[in-house]
Amino acid sequence: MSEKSNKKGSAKKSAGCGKKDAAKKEAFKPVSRRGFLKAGALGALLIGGTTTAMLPLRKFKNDTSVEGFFQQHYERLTPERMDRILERIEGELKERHGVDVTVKDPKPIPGVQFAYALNISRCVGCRRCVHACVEENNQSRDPEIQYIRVLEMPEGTFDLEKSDHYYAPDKVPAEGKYYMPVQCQQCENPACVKACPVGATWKDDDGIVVIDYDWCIGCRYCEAACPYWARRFNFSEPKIPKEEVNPDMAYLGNRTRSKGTMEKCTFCLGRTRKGLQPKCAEACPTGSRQFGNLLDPDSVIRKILSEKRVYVLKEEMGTRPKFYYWFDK
Amino acid sequence: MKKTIMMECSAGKMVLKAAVFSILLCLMSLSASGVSAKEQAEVSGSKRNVVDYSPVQGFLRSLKLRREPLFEYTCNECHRVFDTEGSGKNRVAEHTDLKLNHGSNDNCMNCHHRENRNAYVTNDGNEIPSNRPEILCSKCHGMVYRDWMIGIHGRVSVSWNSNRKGWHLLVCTECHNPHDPGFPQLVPMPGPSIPGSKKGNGSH
Repeated sequence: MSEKSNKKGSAKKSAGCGKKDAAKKEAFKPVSRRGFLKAGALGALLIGGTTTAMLPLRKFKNDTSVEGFFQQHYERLTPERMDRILERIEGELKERHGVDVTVKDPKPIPGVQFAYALNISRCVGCRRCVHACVEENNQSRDPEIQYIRVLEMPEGTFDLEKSDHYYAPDKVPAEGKYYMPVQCQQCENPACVKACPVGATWKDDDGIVVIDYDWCIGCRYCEAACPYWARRFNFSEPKIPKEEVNPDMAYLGNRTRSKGTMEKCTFCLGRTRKGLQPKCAEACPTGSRQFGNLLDPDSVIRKILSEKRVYVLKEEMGTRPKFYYWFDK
Repeated sequence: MKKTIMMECSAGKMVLKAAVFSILLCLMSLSASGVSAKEQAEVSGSKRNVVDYSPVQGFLRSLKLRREPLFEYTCNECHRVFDTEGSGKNRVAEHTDLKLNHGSNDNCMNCHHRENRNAYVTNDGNEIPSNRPEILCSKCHGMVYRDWMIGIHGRVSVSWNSNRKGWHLLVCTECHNPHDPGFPQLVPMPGPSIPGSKKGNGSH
């Protein structure tokens, strides 16, 4: 025991003296060739690996500016800040498309609730609304994104399972068919808004469900929640020919989106909040599409609701759409 | 296919209509739509192509709006001399190019007044002024007439606001040809590309 402790003590002592020497030795230990090469290879690997791993960031730098990255949610932006953001976005989009664009942020008009009415006895399924919408709202041409889907239905049923939206007869309306265009129903109780985990989509004061494209994280929960298949996702960077870009853009509306964001019909809010008709209504050659203010007793919408047989799509979902279908034959 | 009945347009009505139309044109030029928008875009030097989808002004040239009087004379200038029966089936000398395709309404005198050819006729034989074709059409198409009166029949343009100033309702004959009121079938524009094809993988 005593020997052991003695030994320990001596060992401690010797270790205590040897530490300095060892440290000295270590510090001045000459680097072997093998060691140097090892360390060099490891270092090179480390630097190379990090560079490769960070490569996507270089692309990212082109996609987003620093201000864009730190931009706040739409509803937390002060007017001055919004002006700066609009200016920046204009610059970015100009660079992206090579076209002079103006991006505005029209606000909802007080006392207005927008609603839509579509006469399925008059619709002939010519798809002019679909393509007018694509042009107006700067939707991606490749990959193809369209907000409006025109369903060709066999006469005598409302069963959506029997519909076909790839129909291509020589002339429309085809015998024994009727047509039902479906787009965002601007629900009073929107399922998509509830599904959004980050609050990037909400119902605005005039009833239009809008998306802050810069706040959207692209999780596609809203797309899954919508019973009308009204939302579209940008799987890749949207491509629009330069000459087809609509330069009158709205922040929450038709400004060009980028990859990884959700988009949908906004009742052309850049137009309708200025008092114009939505593009699809204007394009309709048959006059099936009517648009107006639900709170105005003289509006066409109120006339249709009081005079005609009206139904909404998938009423049982409890979404309370503000898009009414009616018929008069 | 839509149907609305109309009447032969006489010169007097046409003059009035031309005036009404000039107002409408001014209105349309305010909106960003239609042919006038296209002209506007061209004037402002913008390269943007605005397409008008209207059947009246766009792809169906046969249904071009009549903006100026068809004739330099009124109907009565001839019909004062030639008092024809006008059964609609035995047009020998005049109006032979006129194709009457209006369902069971196949007699000229259903719409045109027998004595005063410048006017239309009511069910009890009274005159309807030639600039009010909608009154004539409402003889049969009462439902459509009611819809038209409250503004839910026909194409829309300009504004959704019900108190729009100077808002003008187009009358029946400005879109429908009274002698052939139905619109022909249309060629549909291309549908969505089918998923799995080259262009179709981003649309859902």
